[in-house]
Amino acid sequence: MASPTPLLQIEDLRTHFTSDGEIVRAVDGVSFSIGRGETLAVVGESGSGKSVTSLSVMRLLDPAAGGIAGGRILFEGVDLVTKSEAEMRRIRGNDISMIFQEPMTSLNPVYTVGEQIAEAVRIHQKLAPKAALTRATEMLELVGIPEPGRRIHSFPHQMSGGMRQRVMIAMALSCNPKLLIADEPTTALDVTIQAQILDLMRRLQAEIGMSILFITHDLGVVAEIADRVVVMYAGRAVEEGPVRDIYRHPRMPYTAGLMQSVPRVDRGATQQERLYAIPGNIPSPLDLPEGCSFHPRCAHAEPRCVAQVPPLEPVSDQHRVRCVRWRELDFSQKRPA
Amino acid sequence: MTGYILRRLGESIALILVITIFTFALISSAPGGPSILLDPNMSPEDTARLRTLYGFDRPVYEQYLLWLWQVLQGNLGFSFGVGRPVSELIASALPATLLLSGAALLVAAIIAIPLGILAAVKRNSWIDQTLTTVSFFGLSLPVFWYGLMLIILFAVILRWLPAGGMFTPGQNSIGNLLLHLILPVVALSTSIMAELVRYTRSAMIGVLRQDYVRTARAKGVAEPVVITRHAFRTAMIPVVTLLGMLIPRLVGGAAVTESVFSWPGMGRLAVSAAFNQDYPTIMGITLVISVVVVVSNLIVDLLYAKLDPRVSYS
Ligand SMILES: Nc1ncnc2c1ncn2[C@@H]1O[C@H](COP(=O)(O)OP(=O)(O)OP(=O)(O)O)[C@@H](O)[C@H]1O
Ligand SMILES: [Mg+2]
Repeated sequence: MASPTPLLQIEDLRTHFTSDGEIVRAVDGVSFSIGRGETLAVVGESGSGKSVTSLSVMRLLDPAAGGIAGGRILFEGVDLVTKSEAEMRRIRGNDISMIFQEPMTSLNPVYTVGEQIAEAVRIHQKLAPKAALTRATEMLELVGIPEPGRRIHSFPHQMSGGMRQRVMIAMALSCNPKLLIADEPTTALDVTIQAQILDLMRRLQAEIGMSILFITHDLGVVAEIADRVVVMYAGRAVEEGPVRDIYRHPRMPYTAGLMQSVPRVDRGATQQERLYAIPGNIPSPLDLPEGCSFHPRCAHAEPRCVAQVPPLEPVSDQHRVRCVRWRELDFSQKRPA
Repeated sequence: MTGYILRRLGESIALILVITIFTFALISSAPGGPSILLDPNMSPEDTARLRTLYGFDRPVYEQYLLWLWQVLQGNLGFSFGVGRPVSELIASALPATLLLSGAALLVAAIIAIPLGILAAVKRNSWIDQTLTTVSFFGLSLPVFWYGLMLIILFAVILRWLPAGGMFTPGQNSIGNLLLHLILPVVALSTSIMAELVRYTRSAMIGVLRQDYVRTARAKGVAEPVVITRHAFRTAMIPVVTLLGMLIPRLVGGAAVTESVFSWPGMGRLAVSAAFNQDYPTIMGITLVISVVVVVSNLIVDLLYAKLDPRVSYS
């Protein structure tokens, strides 16, 4: 699906924070790319650096806390890392927009949702307030909010979480962005609403054709929406490939662990049966283990896993993995009987 | 909304009644009795006549009801001290106090709120640290001493500004009034300013961390607009509440400031009435000040609902 020149290409991104004089390597050499019209999912446990990666692309990190320490973020071939703040402002909300995990707190409580959508339109498309509000109404209609002409005058607190997330999507798409970054957009919603929002995003992508960087810790959601997956662990990409390959033949023990923790109907899991959870916790980025960061939690670790950080090796044309033992291990998922 | 206002008005009236009852009880139990009976030139017969005339021989609750009855008819009584109607004394003192406290509040808000925003935006910088230190200092200044220092420096040594009063005798211009207003306003607004800076700073720091501020930035909103339109617009809500809570303190501070700067306002009137045990004047001032404070708090409450769409009074 990826076209020859990717829309977004991240090369060896390093984003560091300083905390009490120590360097926190939140993102430590991540590379991936997203083609036009493609949906890439970034998956990993809490603290693996997913949000920091997306905020790095938007250049929205708090400069007092840290920043991009190295690497390139090529958007349509131009490096965002070297762009000025004014240039970034023209890109944010216009070429690249973002939606967040918390629909309850992501909208400003003192402005109507119409005003908040219209603001982005006014800024980027230089529309007059009235025309911008008309555009906001159209956007609300597009994301499936009933009575949009009335709803633009609602305040966020008058809406449910699912409705607010629709408003966020309407706002993000109001200027026809080329890339939508969605940082766990469904995590805070209950399952039915979650499915509706995923549906909506799929439909809008088909209509508008933007690329999506979809961040989640839930591999179950990935199959619903993504073309390709990047698995992150402790600030590094540890496996990358098309969704089918990752689901059928995960190569990295960490990915296999994540796969096992996804509830699946075809595995016949009952309510009583506890889901598998990877033992141990993600290491602190202040104190990363030597070599492969996952080795302390890995059932297949060997001395050579500790010796050096394994390189990201190609498994096939599009599938890459960061594990020295990938050739010997087989985590292929049994096909449902 | 109207229901809410009516309910609040009812509560306010009850509160004012309690305050006046309390004040009445307090002054009635003060030793010495009303100053009007202490004139050494009066014969015992005259004293007795006055006592009956004013009703001091009746039980305290009856005296209070008598006072209340008169007040309801618009009569605040006569001052013992100067023998003029209390309403006249208050009518000439109240505008001076409203001018002084209003100007102090306005000046404090205009200076302190932007400084608080600045400290929050540049938090932990030298600007923030300087502002924090200065406002700590400002908060701990005793108004009385501080006012005297201002007079000594600007009126006595530098001779830039008048030491007190509202007008230079014979000059009733606005310019002259403003000149007289500067020092008392500075004295009165300093501690309020210090508190406002600290409060605005912490409200802004809290809001700047909010997700919706990040959303605004992600939309491409320019940083000055993020700070004012998105962050401060919500931080303003608690700041307005603080302004409401500062009003009673402002009125209290005005009493001291007015005495230091010979400002012919309610505070100075109250101090002299208290020394003279001038009951009707004390009661009149208590009543009027309570009404001013209660009404301004009501206005702040309504403003609060106007600022925050999540609040609806019903
Ligand atoms: N402002 C900051 N200052 C210091 N460390 C930070 C800061 N922001 C993030 N980090 C650290 O960076 C690491 C990655 O955080 P990030 O938010 O990207 O995780 P995540 O993968 O998005 O997790 P989650 O699923 O919980 O959202 C964490 O260890 C976090 O503590
Ligand atoms: Mg996150």
